Amino acid sequence: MAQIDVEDVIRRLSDALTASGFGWLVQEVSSAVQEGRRQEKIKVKRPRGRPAGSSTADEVPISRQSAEYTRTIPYSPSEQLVLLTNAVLGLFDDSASMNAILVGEFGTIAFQPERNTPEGEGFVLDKSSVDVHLQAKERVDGLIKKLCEEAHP
Amino acid sequence: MPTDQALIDLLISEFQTQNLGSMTSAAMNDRYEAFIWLLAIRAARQEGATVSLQNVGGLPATSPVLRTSPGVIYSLNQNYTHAVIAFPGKPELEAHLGVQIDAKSGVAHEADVAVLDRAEAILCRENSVNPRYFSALIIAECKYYSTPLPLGLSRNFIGLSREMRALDCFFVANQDSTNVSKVLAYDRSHFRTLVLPSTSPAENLLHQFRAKYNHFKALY
Repeated sequence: MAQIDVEDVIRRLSDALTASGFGWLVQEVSSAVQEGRRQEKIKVKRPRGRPAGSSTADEVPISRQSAEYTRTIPYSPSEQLVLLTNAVLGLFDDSASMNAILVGEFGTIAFQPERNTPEGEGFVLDKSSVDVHLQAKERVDGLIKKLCEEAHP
Repeated sequence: MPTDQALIDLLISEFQTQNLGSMTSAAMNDRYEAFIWLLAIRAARQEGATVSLQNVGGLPATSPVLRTSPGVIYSLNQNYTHAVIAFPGKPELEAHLGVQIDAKSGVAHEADVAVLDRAEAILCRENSVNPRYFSALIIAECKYYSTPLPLGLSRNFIGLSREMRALDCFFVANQDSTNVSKVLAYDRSHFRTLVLPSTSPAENLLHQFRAKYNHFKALY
């Protein structure tokens, strides 16, 4: 699949996530992409001779001919797709495992805001939510795997 | 074989499955904080403590009611739950989720997970005031992310640990980031990344919490 197709898959998956209420996940991935994949160290050699415009009178001896700098490596489109699909997989995987351990320990857990507001409603975790979540996780794992195979045949 | 658009359509229907529990960013952080709170409780049990759940009124709680937003330890808006940790012959402790703690500057900061001296916690509930930073044994800053951790988190944590006692503060996250780890290591902060259920980092964090309880027991 050509690079443009990968970008198209990213766009359509991002739109689908946003339409399904997972815009925060898309935003998080977008911020990570902006921050870059990682920083790598590179050695930069100083140019030989005096800098242009300096005279011999104000010359400062340079002890080292090269110095270490860092630069940020951007994510490629394929890596951005992996970042997005891993974020979806991780979300279902992590919430399923956390639900299971919390419900296993406490039975039912209620998460309640100080005051009920439209932005911050509470939620409850119990045995049925753990079962439903595990099944959804299995299905999402399979769908994401197929999607990645389509994008990287 | 379905097309990629058909797969995306199928995914949408999965995202909209009912009864998943909330899957917002805030709800994922709430789950994560509760998981780290559970690790703090398990570490205390492994060190020989008896742990019981109580609500804000001091009555036993069977099913915990946990905070979704930071609040004050004396709040009566909901019947919030905390864990009472009792080591034989030692002062009792309480493990809380999302309560404010008065820092060195006199400004109150939220502690995602806090293990506090119980006498101080009771005093604070009776007088509607925040516990003070030196009454904390463990303060865990918990971060749930779906991507590598943004660098800004390390700066925020270093600021928080300056405001509290640095040796009580733990940075805990489910993800990793070379840069965040580097900054925290350079600052000699306590941190543990990739902490999730049934992982070795979770075991390592549990041992770090156990070391704190062990130190506490030795002091009294």
